[in-house]
Amino acid sequence: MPVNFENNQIVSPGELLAEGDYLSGEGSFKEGNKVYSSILGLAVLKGKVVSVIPLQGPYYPKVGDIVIGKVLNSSPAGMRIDINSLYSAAIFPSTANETGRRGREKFIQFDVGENIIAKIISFDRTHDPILTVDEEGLGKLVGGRIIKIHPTRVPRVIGKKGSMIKLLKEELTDRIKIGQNGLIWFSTSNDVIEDILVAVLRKIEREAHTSGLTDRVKETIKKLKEEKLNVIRGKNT
Amino acid sequence: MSEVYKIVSEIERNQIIAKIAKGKRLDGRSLDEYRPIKIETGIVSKADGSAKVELGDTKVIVGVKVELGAPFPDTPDEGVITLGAELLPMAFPTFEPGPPNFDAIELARVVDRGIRHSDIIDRKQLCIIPGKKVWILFVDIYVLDSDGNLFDASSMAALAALKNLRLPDVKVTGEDVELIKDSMKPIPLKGKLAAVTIAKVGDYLIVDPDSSEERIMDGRITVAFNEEGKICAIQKGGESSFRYQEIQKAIILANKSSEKIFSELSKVM
Repeated sequence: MPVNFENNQIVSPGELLAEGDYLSGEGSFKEGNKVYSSILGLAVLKGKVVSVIPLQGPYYPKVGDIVIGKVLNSSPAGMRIDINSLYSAAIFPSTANETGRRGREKFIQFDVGENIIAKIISFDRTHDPILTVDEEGLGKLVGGRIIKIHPTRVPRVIGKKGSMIKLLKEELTDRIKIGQNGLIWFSTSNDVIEDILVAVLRKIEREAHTSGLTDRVKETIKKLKEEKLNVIRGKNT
Repeated sequence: MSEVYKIVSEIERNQIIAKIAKGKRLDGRSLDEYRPIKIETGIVSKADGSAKVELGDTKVIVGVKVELGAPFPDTPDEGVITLGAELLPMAFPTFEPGPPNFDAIELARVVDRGIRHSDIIDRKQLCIIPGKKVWILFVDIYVLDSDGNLFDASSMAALAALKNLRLPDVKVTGEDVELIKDSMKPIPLKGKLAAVTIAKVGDYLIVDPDSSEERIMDGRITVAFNEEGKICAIQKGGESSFRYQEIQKAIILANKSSEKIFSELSKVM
């Protein structure tokens, strides 16, 4: 028997996904030569690997992910960062450097309550994730606003080959940073843009499982912009 | 994990304060705007009276249980009302299991004071044999989901549950009290009660703070009104102080919001 589902079909735990020469990926398990889903989500077949993308769930750290975190504890020996996950991350002086001009390294100490954007450089089940800020675009976040969405919806905010994020940057603000852990930081020039961006992000989160989202978001932005402009125009006249 | 919630992110704090200075809030409300209220009564079939209130994302269940018992010696002809509150661990990451903590005790006390001093329940009517047998009402508040402003939600839920309360008729022969089956009657309530919480953030006063606003607020004041607009109880909390003019302003703001609570309550009462 080939696969038992269409791509991006919603499947429930225990559902038989494929039989025969297939491998189980994320969100699925193999018993004998049958692959079953272990979670509620969208089934995807890539080559011989059957995996299920969860509809909901916490953020599970992965090496190489860019995350946005909040400093919980700070000492010269290291800092503890909340990354909206079941594991809290650590950042040590050796990785909290900023390579300055002429390659000189500068140690930066973050204060409790500050938000940072960082990259996970090491994580496995024996130790907590370790972060670094020694890269372009990483470090302390100043100003702006942070909103939280479901971590599983983050790929839709980025879109296929970055189409969605490109749209948001073109239409609304280019100062937007996405953490894989479901936190999105942005800074806008005015409140109108901010309101639209929040509404759009909420829409993406709500309709993440549907297709053709980028086009619909484009229309929504256009509509919201018109509406807000009309309100402003109405006030002025 | 609870430390995650005790430490407020700097960006969040600055954002909330900047928005409030512009007369707006993060969730789009204006400073004196209340979140949507939803009240349901009679949701716990085994309780003698119950209600659930949703105030935005805050969810509170109140159950009332009645018992026959002896009155307090100093008020032999009055029934007894006992309020208790429990902040269930599932409601918020910082809520722990175990005996009630400071916040839970304060919550029960504020709701209790509102009900007691607004005289909506005539406690003399809960008396069966003076000095011997009276009705004891146990009003228990359970916070299911906390997104701030538990005082207002709990006091609404307590009032709706008391309205939903049914007491059986009793037959008194000598000192024996016999409950008459299938004769459940509501207790008469005199008017309504609304508690409104005002938070102080910097120099601004905001109505109905949610949990992120509660974490950054300097102080709060809860004012309970009866239906005529009389103040029945006031409770102040938080580290900052209120100036006299601020208290006056808070009372005016609260009084305005109490109208919304009364209109929501009249849908179930």
